[in-house]
Amino acid sequence: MKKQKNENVSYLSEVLDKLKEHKMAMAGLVVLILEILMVVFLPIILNLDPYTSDYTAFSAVPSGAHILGTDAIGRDVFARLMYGGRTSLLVGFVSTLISCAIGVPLGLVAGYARGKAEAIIMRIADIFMSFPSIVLILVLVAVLGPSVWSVTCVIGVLGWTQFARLIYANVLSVSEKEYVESARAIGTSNFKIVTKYVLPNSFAPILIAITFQMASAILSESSLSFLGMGVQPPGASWGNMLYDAQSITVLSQKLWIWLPPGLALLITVLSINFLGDGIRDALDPKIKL
Amino acid sequence: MRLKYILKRILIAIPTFFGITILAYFILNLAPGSPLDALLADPGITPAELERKRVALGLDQPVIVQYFTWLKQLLTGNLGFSYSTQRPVATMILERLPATAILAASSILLSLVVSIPLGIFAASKPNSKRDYFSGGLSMLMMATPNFFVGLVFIYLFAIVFQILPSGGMYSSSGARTFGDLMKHMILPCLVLSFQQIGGWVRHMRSSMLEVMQDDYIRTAKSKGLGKWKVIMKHALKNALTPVVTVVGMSIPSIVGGAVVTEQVFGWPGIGSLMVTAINGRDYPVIMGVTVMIAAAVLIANILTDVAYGILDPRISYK
Repeated sequence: MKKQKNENVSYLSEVLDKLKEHKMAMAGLVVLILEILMVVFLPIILNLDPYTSDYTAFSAVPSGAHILGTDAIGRDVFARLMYGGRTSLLVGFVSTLISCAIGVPLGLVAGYARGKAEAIIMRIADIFMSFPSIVLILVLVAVLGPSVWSVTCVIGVLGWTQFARLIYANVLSVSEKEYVESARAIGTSNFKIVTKYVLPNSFAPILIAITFQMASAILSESSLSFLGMGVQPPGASWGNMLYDAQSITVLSQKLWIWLPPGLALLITVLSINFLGDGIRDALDPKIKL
Repeated sequence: MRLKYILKRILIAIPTFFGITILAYFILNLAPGSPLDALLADPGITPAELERKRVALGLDQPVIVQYFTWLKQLLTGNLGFSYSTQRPVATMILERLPATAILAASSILLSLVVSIPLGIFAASKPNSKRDYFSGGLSMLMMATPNFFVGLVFIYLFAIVFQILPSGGMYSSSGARTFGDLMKHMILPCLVLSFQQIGGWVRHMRSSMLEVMQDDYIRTAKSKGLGKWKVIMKHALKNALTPVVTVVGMSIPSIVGGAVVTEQVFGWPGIGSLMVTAINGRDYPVIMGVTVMIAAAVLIANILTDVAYGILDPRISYK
C-alpha cells in the first residue's frame, strides 16, 4: 500500500518536472495566474467602478484619470476590462465544470458498459458534433433569454461531447488492462472498478479536455456577447466590450475601447492552449487532439 | 464493395439528420411566445378568431404531431414563412446560400494552400526553428477570436491603409464584377481561415512525421534520394490522406465561424440571416437555417468519407 503511494507521488513529480521544462506552458501558467490575481484583486484594491458614467468624459482618450480611457457612455474601460475578465474567466471555468460533470460519466459508461449504452451515447455525441456548436448555442440562448447564467449553462451543457469522446477512447484501452481484468476476476463490482481503477487512469484525458474546453468556452462566450446574445450590458465581458466596435467610428477612432478586451481574450486563450499542450506532452505525448 | 460503403455512410447520416431536426424543433418549442403573438398585437381581433387561427396553424395539436406536420412539409420543400418578412423561408435561404458557399469554399481552399506547405515545412525538421515558428503561428491563429481578428483587419486594411473594402459583397456603386467580389472576399475569407489553418498545420505536421517513419520512406532514403524528393514523391501523398478526414471534421466549425465572420463583414450569407433571425426571434427562419446547415454538414461528411475511401482503398466500413 505504502509503496503504491510512493509510486503515485513520483509519477506526479515526474509529470510536474516535465511540465516545468515546457517553457511555453510555464509562461502560459504564469500569465493565467497573474491575470486571475489581477481581475480578482485589482477591482478591490483600486476600488474600480465599471458601471457609473463619468459625465465629464464620454469616449475620453486614455489619461491619468482613466488609464484606458472611457467608453461611449463614460464608463471606465480599465474597470470594465477587469470586471469583464472576471465574467469571461468565470463563464469559462464554470461551464467547463458543467461539461466535465456531464461528459465524464457518460464517457465512462459508454466505454465501460459498451453495448447499447455505448451505441446510444456515442451516437448522440456524433449528432452534437456534426452540428456547428456556436449555432446551437445561439439558438438555445435566444430561447432561454441571454444572461451570464444562461450562457454559462448552455456552453457547459453542449460542451459534454469533448469530454465524453476523450474519456470513452481512454476507457476502451484501460478496460483491457490486466489490472482491470484481475479486479473483475476476483469479483470486484463494476462500480468499484470504474471509480477505483478506470477513473483515476482517465485523469490525463480529463485534464487535457478541461484546458481545451475552457479555451473554447471563453471563445464561445465572447462570440455570443459580441453578437449581442451573451452577457448583457451594463454587465461587462470581454466579448460585449467588443460589441461597440461594430460601429465604424468606434473601430476607426476609439482603439482604447476595443483593442484591450480583444488582446486580453487572445492572450488568455493562447495561455490556456500552451498550458494544455504542455500538460498533454507531460502526461501522455501519444494522446492526439 | 465501394458502393456498399457509400450507402452505409448515407444510411448513418439519415438518423443524424432527423436527430438534429428533433433537437432543434423541441428547443424552439421551449421558446416563450408563439406565432400568434403578432396577431395579438391587433386590437380588433376576437378570441374566436384567434382560436380559429390557432387551429389553422395546428398549434392546438401536441408538439409531437406538430413536429411530424412540420417534417412532412419540410420533405416537400416547404419551410414555412418568415414571421418578420412573411416571405417563404426556403426562398430566403436560397438567396443567401451562394454567398456563404463561395465564402466557405474559398476559405477551405485557402486553408489547404497555406496549411499543407506549412505543415510539411515544420515536419521536415522537427524541433528546429522552423518547426517552432509554424507551431507558434498555428497556436496564435487558433487562439484568435475570429471577430477580433476581423475587426483588426478592417481597421488595418480598410481604415488605415484603405486598400480593401470594410464589408459587404459588392461595392454599392458599379457593376457586380468578379474582381469586385474577390476584393470584398479577401478579408472575410482570411478571417474565416484562421482557425482552420491553425489546426490543419498541426495535423499535417503530425501526419507527415508519422509517414516519415514508414518502411518505404527508409527504402527511398537508402536508395540515396534527397530529403525533399522523398517528401514530395513518397511521403506527401500518404500524409495527405488523414488530412481529408480533418477537413471533413472541420466543416461544422467553418459553418459556425461563418456565422460570426459574416456578421463582422456584413456578408449577405446564411450566417448573417441566422443572426438577424435569432435577434428577431423569427423561429421559422431559425428552424429553416438549422435544417439547411445540418443537411449541408452531413452531405459534406459523406463526401469526405467517400473521398477517404477512394484515397485509401484499405479502409472498409467498420
